[in-house]
Amino acid sequence: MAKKGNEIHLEDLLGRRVRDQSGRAIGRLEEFRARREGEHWVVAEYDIGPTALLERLAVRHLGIRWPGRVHGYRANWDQVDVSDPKHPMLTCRVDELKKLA
Amino acid sequence: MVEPLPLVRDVLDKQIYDVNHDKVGKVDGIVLIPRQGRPLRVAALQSDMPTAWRRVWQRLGDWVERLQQKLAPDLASPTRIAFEHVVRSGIDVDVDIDAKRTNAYGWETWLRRRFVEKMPGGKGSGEKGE
Repeated sequence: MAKKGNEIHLEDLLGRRVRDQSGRAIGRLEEFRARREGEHWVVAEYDIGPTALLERLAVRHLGIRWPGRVHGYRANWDQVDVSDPKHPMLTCRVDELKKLA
Repeated sequence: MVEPLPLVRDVLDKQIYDVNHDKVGKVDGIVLIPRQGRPLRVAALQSDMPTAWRRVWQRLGDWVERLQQKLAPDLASPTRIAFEHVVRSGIDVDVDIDAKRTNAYGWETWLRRRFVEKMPGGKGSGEKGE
């Protein structure tokens, strides 16, 4: 296999369902927002849910919106546990996440 | 504050160009390194066939990798470019390295030497990986 040591591949995480601590799915991982930290880049935020998918596909400016309840969240790096890439979990409550408008 | 870089929208699946503006390949994967109590470090861009096929179907990627190892074991490792070499991203990804100094053209060169050059009219230009 191409993977080495404890590394994670972004493409393995992409589209995975994120669950809260009670096991309820809150949406899929759709975007990973990186920031420069010194000389390295780090994943600072995760975008979750269908609104994040629209953002990723760059079609939100066309006015496409999901009606009804909140459909997207932005989580800080420490609000999602990705140590098991197949089962990402929230480390906080859903209402602590930033909502994507 | 500088706007964060969306890795899926602006990096994954984009065409990589090297310092000479030669095509290196596509970004088939992005390698992340977990660190205790700190955010994931974005370590490298990865470009190779098994990674790309694995995204379609895991077994297909594994099969392509085994085939590569059978055909040319010394070429089977993926092309990795440290993320610090990325100078621009968006439509394409520009890196500040010379792709000829990486293994990015390994399979092209192998195919040319093993097959293309043996065909009538196969010798000539196409020295990209040399």
